[in-house]
Amino acid sequence: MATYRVDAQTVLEVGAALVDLGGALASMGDPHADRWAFGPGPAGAAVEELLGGWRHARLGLAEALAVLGEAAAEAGGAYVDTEAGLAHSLHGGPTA
Amino acid sequence: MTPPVRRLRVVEGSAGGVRLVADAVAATGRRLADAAGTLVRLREGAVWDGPAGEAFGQRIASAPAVLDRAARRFLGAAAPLRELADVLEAEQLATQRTADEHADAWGAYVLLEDRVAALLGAGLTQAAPEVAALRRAQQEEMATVLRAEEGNRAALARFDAADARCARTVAALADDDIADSALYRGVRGAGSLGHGVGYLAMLPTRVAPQSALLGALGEGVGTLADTGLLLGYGEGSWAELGVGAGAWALGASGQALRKGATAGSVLRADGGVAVSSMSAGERVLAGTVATARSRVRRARARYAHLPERGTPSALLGGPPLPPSGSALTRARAAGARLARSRLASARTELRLAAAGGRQTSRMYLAGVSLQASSKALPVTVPPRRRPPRSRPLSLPPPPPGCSATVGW
Repeated sequence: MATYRVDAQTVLEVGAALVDLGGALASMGDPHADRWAFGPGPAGAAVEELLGGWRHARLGLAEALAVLGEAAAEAGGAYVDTEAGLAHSLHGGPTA
Repeated sequence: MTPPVRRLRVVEGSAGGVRLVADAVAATGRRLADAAGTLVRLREGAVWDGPAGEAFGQRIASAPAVLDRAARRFLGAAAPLRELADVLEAEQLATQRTADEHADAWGAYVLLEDRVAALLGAGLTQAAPEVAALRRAQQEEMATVLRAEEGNRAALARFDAADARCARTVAALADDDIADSALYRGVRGAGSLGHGVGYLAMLPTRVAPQSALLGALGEGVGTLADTGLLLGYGEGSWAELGVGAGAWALGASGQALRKGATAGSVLRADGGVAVSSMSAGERVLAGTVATARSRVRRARARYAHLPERGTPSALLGGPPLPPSGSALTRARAAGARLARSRLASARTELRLAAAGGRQTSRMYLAGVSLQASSKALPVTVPPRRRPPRSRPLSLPPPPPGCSATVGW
């Protein structure tokens, strides 16, 4: 039998935090914009590669976190609704 | 004839700019490391005990590793960048100083040469004391020129060595398992539309399978709708249709496309629209994040309206209960507000999307049609048929002498 121990608000906040993190990863700036500061030497190219060369993983992770965060927030909301419906029925009203 | 003055090379770049990059890199690395630590705690079930919590932990399992690798990249780069900035600053000053000394000395040499030519033109010989004094002064200036060239070469060599050392360290940090593959880089370089379609198709499976299923169905309908537009009205082209098809491969929802179409566009205070350049793929992802944000806001709003200690678990410290009275009234008022705000926001969205050009307009229109299609999907399932109402029985008239009010 499944057991549940859930803090609905925390789950909601976790979802929001994951979406924020996903958004930050998705909108990380283009490192080429700062290339000028390094001059024409190899360090500038290496730094650009280091900061921008994980784009595939970054965007994939950003999307996964956004979707997972949304799912967590929806789950948190659903737990709230379940709690509210259960409480309503215990107070004598019909459940939704 | 005196050769023209040659300007010595000065170290290019900005030490202040490199330090700013180093600071930003360190701060981002710390944030990524913090996020990785937080996700590890979440994965271990700190807040959510139950089947869904376990599924959540499994789905989030690989995220901390990616964040940890990224944090290592960023944090590892900060120190070599600061070291490079120090060398850049020192050697830039040195090359600037030597270049100035070289230019001054060379200029003085040329001036002395002109004076020698004037004296020789006036009839003096090379052996004349005035000419000999000018020649000695020229030799001193030439010695300064040579010293400046030597110092300049040495400063450039010191900076080049530091630049190469920094590049080696940074390149070693970039050699990890989150680095973009050669295939991915090749696809990215294939142009804007191809880039968007190609790399979106390579993204991993979406995390929430149920919503992905609905999204895929909706996108399928939307792509067909675009085809209908093309065939029926001659709008767009087959290449343009690829935007919808690529988004379909990703499983992007209509709402994500709509929001993505307006991403990077800002409504200015004067009513104009400022647009930033984004690829199709980045727009779809920005739309996905924006859609997730709006859904999280809605879920939060649901929680925010609950009063204190209203649910069973509130007695144990859980969430409270919403007030039961006048829920219908509140819902109706909220519906009217929502309709008004949607009308206003649709007008604004259309302007923002149109400002991004044809691509964003197509994404927006595709998003609207997909959203409408996916909303209509549940209705396509035939509702359970209600049983036919039975016809009323027509009883024969009662025989004479019997009451018509006899019950059963």
